[in-house]
Amino acid sequence: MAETQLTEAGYLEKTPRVSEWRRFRRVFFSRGVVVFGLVVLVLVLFTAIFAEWLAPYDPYKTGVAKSLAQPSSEHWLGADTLGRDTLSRLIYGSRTALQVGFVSVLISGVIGIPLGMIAGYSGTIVNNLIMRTMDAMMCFPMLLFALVLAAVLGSGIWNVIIALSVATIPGYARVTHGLALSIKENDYILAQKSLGSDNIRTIFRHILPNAFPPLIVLMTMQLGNLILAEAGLSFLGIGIEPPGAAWGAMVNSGYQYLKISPWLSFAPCLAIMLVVFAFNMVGDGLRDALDPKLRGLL
Amino acid sequence: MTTYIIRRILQAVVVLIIVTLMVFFVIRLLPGDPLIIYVAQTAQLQAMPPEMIEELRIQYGLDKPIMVQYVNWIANMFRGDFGESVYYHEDVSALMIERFPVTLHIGGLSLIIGAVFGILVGIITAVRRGKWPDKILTPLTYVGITIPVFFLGILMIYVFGVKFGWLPISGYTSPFENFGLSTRQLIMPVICMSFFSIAANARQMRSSMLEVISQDYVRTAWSKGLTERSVILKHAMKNSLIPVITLVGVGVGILFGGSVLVETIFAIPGVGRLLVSSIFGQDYVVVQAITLVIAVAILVVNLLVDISYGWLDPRIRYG
Amino acid sequence: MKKFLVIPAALILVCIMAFSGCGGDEEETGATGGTLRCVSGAIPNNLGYPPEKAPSDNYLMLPVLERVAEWDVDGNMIPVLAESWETDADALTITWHLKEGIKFTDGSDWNAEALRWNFQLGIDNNTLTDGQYVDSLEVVDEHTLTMHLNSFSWMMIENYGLIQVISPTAFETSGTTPEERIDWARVNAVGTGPFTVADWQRDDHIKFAKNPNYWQEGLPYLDAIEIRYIPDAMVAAATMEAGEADMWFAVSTVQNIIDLQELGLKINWGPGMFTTLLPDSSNPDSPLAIKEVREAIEYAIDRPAIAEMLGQGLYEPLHQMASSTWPGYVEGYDPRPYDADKAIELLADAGLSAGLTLKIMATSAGTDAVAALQSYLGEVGITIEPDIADLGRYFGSVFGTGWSDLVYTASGINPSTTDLFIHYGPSPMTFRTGNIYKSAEYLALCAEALDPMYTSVAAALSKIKDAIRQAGEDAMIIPLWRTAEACIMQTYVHSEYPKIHGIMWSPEDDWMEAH
Repeated sequence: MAETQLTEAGYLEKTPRVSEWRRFRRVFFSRGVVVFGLVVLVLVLFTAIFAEWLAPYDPYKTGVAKSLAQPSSEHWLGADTLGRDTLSRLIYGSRTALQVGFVSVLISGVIGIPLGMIAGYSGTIVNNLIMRTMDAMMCFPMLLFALVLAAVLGSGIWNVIIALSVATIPGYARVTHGLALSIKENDYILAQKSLGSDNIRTIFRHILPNAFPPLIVLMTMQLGNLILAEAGLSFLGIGIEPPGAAWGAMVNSGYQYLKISPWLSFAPCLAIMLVVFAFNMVGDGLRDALDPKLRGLL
Repeated sequence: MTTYIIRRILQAVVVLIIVTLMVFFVIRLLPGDPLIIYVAQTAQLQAMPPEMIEELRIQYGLDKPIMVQYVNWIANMFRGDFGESVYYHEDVSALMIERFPVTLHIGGLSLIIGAVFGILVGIITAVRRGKWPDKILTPLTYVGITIPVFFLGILMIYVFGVKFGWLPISGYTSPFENFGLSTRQLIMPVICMSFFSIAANARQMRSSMLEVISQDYVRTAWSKGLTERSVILKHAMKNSLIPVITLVGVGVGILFGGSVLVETIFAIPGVGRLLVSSIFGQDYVVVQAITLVIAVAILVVNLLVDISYGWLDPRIRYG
Repeated sequence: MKKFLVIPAALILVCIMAFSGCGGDEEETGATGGTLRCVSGAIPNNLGYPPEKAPSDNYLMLPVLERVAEWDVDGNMIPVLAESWETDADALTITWHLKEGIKFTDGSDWNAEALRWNFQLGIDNNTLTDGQYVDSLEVVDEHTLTMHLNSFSWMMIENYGLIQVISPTAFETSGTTPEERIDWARVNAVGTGPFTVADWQRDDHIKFAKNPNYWQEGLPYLDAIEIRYIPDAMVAAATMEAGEADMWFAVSTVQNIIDLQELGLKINWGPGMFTTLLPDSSNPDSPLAIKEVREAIEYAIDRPAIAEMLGQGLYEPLHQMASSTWPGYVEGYDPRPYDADKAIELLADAGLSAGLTLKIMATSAGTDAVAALQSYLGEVGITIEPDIADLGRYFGSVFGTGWSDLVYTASGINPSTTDLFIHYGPSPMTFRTGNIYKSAEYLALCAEALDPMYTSVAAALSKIKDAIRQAGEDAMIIPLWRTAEACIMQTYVHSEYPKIHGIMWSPEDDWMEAH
């Protein structure tokens, strides 16, 4: 799902809190694909962290002798036109992929969640101002929004991250807003209020824990979409600057060599697919394990 | 219900105003002087004196304060005047009339195919859970949600266009001009564009079907001895459609996003490609107009989806 | 888990297999006529209003709009719509004698008045190259036009002769106001050419139909030409491979050329692009104002190696401000061959032994080139910060507001040596931001090469070579490599495109065997 829209209706009922770790584990690990996704993610994370040690070569080192080298025992996935080892670039690319994914999710979450929370918890004017702005942002398809923003900001991985983050803010704001609204009406918070508990404390003590399951699921699934979006932007010429390695950019510069060196584009493409798949599966698993009610909404 | 609809429409109007502000100001932040780019593109081999550049600046109204430009822009649009493209020397409305039908043709087909096949695949995989149709189709839906669209396009072109020679490789022909060719040319782009939607809708449909199938009233229907078809169609499907409607609503946005990539690959003169080339050429009059029209289209679709929810589920009206 | 991956894996296998061994044989039966189906990465946007034309509008409209004169293979000017011309350096005149009996496709005559009108249009709009040197245009008789100039150089024959003419009558009768006429001309072209515009859809395709009254007897051979715009090179390559197109213009993607060549398609080589790193050396605060730094950069870059990697044998490494395909090329002149130690030494001389950081601006098409440059410059302690710009910002900087540090550029190559003046001369038409420092010696040599005593490139050649050598001594720019450019066609197509260079095309004698 590229963009997940949540109607406020989904949260009219109080979402049950999941606290039983055992139930979570049982449900989460019951599906093979989910476990597979988790294993993939752990491996990719490991690869990204230890890229320096895992990569057989310097991913930026060019060399005419290795230009478009075919796969061999030295270069398992051959080398690109500048003689750079594909496997090493693939390994370093995992870093870019996770960076784009995690940092974007972090930024958009950090901005979007409080916005939704504030909107849900404040008066009509502020609420409307924030939520209508979010609605307006959601009227722009993510890729177009990111494309225009990236054109404004210029190329480079950080600008792509900023563009993707801004484009995904409204998703988080909407989910949190819906939750805040529904939870606000719940008896126990009303009770808290009457007891004189202040707003901020209510938000942290009661709303955030309730908001956690849907948000974590949304974030996980969003990670996959962000990586796909980065690939799309690369194809259009907006992305990481040389000599950096990013999977989307590798597919894009590699597909010219489809006939003589298909691995140059297939390898990074498979990497993208695998990671996006893994994020989706883990997202599914988290959803089922944390709160099956979210099915159909996330 | 009427109050609900009026409230929704009022909200949409506010959103629309914010949309216009965003479109105008974000795009005006584009770096570079649009006139210099115009000069570079059209008179690259020639020197253009500064007075002429100033003249053009006045001609395009770029010498006025930005708020005045915004108000003029809005006022002009109400008169159907979206401005003139600096690059094409053509009214933007004329350009859009040329391009939008192409994108809507492909996008509309993709949307319908995405919904129909998505629902179909979802039902099949749910009903035949664990059987061979599920085993084949479910992994395909995984491919659908993970493969980068542009790479899928290139692969299809090489496999179906070059290797097997079944389909024309690229291009767009109006269906009124040559229906057969038009349809053949559309197959790959439409598959490419709807693959993601089919997969996403199918996954959604499958999981909600599985849930509904296991519910009491469906079990009751089974036990009453109804045929499989009537159980699936009458009971299970109707109730699992609601989340899919949401996805189809969202799908409009995804399709406009996807059109950017698909139109570039398949050499289709649609609005997505025009938008990309205008962004990179900093022809921002065009960028503003197109993003605005797309945003308004999505706004309207979302409004309709919201209203239909209110109609389907009375609780929402008071939400 | 495996079952979930079996299908995608199988699909991908099928795809990989599909890439091996495509292609087919063409039967030859011999016949002429037909429609030449072309694909191109550019398409005319402005059909017939010369003041607003971009380069691709010019050469792709050659089937309709012919020139007064053009280059031959050696870079000499030869007449097309002109019969001949004479120059008088003392009287400062150029006199054009026009061919007789030629008509525009609207029925009006091609004559001296029509040429005067076309020149005047360019002068009025400030788009005629060297138009500022024209004092007056005199129609001597029906087929003779004399240009009275306030200065003279051999370059003017090229600059005036390469004009593509439109029918004045068609233009003037197309509307009641100047705006209406211009709007009409942007989407209509009436010339003297072998073809007329039959159908045009912006950013999609243009179709040319045979002009039955073409002035060259028996020409053109083709019934029609169709050019389709395909932005993605890989897709254009697939179109050629599948036989859906007969000809592909101006291909610069190396692997596509090699792939299609291996499939047996015909290749006509074009001039390619002249790539350079341009410094902001006129800015006294820039490290590139120091000659040693520019020299160090040139020494640090292994141009033959990078040209081999990027070009897979199709690029020519450059060592001077000229390529070997250019008459102005100075044989054997290579002032700074690859020598990393020398580069480090020079940086130390400049007091920058600790290294320095420089920006290189490029478009996304230059990403690989910048990565290669970055790798080599990194070896000598120069850290490169790439700045990948969209086309708008790139052109705006390179041709307009200027850049800081270095910019990676690719410029066209003409068959004569006018490039020197178009791009790097005293008053260049492209890189005219004033960012590049040009020494007084160099400018003086450029001026000498344009002395009125020389009436052709050939005569001025030794001066031109001196200027190029001087630019090399000054390390004025950092020449990199000449890229590949090809016109790829099916075996049954006979075309001289790009006859001499990417900007020349004579579609009237293109023809196809039956296929």
